[in-house]
Amino acid sequence: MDTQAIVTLAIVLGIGLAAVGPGIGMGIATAAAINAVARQPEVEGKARNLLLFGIVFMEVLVIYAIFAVFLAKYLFKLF
Amino acid sequence: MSFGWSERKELEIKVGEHWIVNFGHMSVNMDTVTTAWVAMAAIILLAFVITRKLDIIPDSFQTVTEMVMGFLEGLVKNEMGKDGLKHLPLIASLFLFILFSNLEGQLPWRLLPLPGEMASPTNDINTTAGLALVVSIYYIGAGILEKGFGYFKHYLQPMWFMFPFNLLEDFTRPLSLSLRLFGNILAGELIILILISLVPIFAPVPMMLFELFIAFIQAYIFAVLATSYIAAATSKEHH
Repeated sequence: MDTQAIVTLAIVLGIGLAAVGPGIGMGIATAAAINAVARQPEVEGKARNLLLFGIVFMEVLVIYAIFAVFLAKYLFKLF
Repeated sequence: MSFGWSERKELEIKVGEHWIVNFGHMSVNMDTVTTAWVAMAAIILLAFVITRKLDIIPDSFQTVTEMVMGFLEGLVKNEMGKDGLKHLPLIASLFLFILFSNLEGQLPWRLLPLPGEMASPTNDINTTAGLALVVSIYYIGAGILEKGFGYFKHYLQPMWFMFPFNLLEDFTRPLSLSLRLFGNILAGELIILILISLVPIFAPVPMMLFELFIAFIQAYIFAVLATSYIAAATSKEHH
């Protein structure tokens, strides 16, 4: 494999692997929010805000991965 | 880059390339500046037109405006109580500017004969970093104005050895705030670009609609985080 193939593979796998952890976390958080609303429908607004707030911090991990991929793209002059 | 109908082979995806104009030592991303001014002009024009004839029985424009402002007021009041309303101008300006900037990315800029590739100004890291720095300078300033020198005591808060971590927080907050907005908008535009290069008609439309939703969510999240940072800096109780 030449360098370009390795870097392309790293970029694609990097995004994919970075999405695994936050995906699981978002699933757990959403399940907890749905549970909370199912038990106590009157907290829906509060639960939605808390869910959004929590998801933001998981989502930023994938954004960091995207940023790292852009950096890799610039370092190796790809695309 | 071309429209992708007949010249699909020529469509190449460029990330983070801007229409750069040099003024002396400075190089300015002209497309970002233009679209940012368009967003500001749209906000100012709307504000001017809507506030011309205010009425007790509002017409539809006034109703929408009051709804938006009421929503933002509720956001600030919920976090900081009635005292926090003095921070409402900053939060509301940030929300409206980011919302208009994000929505601007879905306008058909290609129809105009402009030299650069116009898109949301928030797909440039300089814009989002500027906004995030405004927020972080503002919350430190607000904390100092509120508590005087006592603001700096919170750096030593649970124990003295937590100082580096508390100091680090002041740097990671603007970093994550700017990268979140930038990454979301740029990733959305990239996905639309990739979809256009694969299937030029109809396929990108659902993604574009999703981007309209993302625009609202990101503006809301920026406003919420700015509010919570200011609330944490100005809160009275010791935590």
